[in-house]
Amino acid sequence: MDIHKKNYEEYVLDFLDHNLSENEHAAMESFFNKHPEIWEEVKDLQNFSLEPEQEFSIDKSNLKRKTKPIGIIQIGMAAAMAAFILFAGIKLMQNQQSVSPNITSVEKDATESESNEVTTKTDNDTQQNIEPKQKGKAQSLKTNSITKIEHTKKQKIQTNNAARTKVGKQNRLPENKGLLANHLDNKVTETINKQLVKEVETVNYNPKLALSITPKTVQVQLPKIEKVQGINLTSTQTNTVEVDKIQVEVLQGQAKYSVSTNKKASDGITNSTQSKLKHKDDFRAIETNEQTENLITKSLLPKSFAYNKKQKKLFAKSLLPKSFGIN
Amino acid sequence: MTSKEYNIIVDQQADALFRFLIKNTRRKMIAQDLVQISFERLWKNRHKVDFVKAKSYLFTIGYRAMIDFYRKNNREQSYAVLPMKIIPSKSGEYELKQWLETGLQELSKKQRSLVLLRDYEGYSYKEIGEITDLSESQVKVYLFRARKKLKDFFLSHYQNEMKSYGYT
Repeated sequence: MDIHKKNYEEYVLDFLDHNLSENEHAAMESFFNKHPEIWEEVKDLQNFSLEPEQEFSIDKSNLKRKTKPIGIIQIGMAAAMAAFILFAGIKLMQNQQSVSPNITSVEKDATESESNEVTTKTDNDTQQNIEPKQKGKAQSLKTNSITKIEHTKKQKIQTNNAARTKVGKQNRLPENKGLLANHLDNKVTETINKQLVKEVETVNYNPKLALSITPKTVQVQLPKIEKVQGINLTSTQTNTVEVDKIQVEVLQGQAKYSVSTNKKASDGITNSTQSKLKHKDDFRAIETNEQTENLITKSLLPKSFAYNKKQKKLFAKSLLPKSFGIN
Repeated sequence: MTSKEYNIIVDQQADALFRFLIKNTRRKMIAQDLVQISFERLWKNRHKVDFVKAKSYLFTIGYRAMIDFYRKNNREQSYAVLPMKIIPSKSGEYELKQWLETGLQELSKKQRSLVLLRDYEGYSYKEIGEITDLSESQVKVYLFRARKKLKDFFLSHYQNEMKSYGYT
């Protein structure tokens, strides 16, 4: 062990306290023999000590914390609070059950509009577009705070020119960018977690009802489309994609749609066309069929899906390879 | 650490922390504030702190709060500080305590803190290193130099005192 003038200070205190090993102690002694002037400085520190003064005292009452167990009064208050919350919750649930479904709709027919704009209006505006029979029903629900739509929101639609060329004019619908819905990336995706499963109601062929049950998450079952009927494909008819499920989530008056496709898509689907669906797509409004009430009342679907009014069926056009045009 | 254990720490360590802080800052009000701050932080973090290490943790908080105070108050000199002038007692002897106080003020802030932690509070070199964020070797070197400085201070004053009485 090498102890010299530059490092001896690290060992002095341990040397004085006799905390060094034998080798280290010997090295220190050797160092002090070589440098007696340093030893003269150090030797007086051997008995260095300071006696702590006891006169300093601080008021501890401000520093201490209460450690008393919860008293009877606190328990009583907690029980009263719990009972009140329980009572309020039951009342709230009863109120919710007594409310009839509300109806919301996209008031603007996308196919008629050349301004590429879809407007989702408030309850009041929506009621103007509902038939008289339904209007009375809707008015009766006006006071329902749960189903009230709070705000008006206009969102510009950006049409996809490429899509226009492929889709016939009757099917060309405006696209709505930036809405809440997320595309499902060409997968049948469960967006409902297990905790919400109990609240999910499956409504067949009646999305109106689905939309009215706000803010629950609702699954809407659409009929399976075996093939895209009435749409002439330039190639073979095997290149169809089934759309078997549409999931609707309505929250604060805004509909969030997710469309599930059957992965048994045609053989003609290429990787490139599939990968398109991995991006968040634009969304487009689908026309309401108020009279038949059969299919979608209001929906915001990815642009890769189109709705055929006559057939009342949904098809996924963008799943098709580019080589297959739709007339 | 439970609430009960926290209160034990208050009983056991509040005075020691107050002494450490007042010796360093030489201002009673500030030392009281720093003690308050330190115990507030200990209370907030009591669930993370083991009772055995609570004392060391408390002094770490107190030391850091004091450093923060120094940084925020560079005009330290302008504050009124406790008088530390050595005054002869009636018996004509200098009070050792006053000597010690004055000697401590001759040290740098870091040296003073280390001396107080080691010689007043009895912390190990390792614990002092954790409190002051220094290595163990650094602590030993600082402490050695501080003690040497104190010894030189006492020696010089002792010699001056002897001279005043006619001793050489």
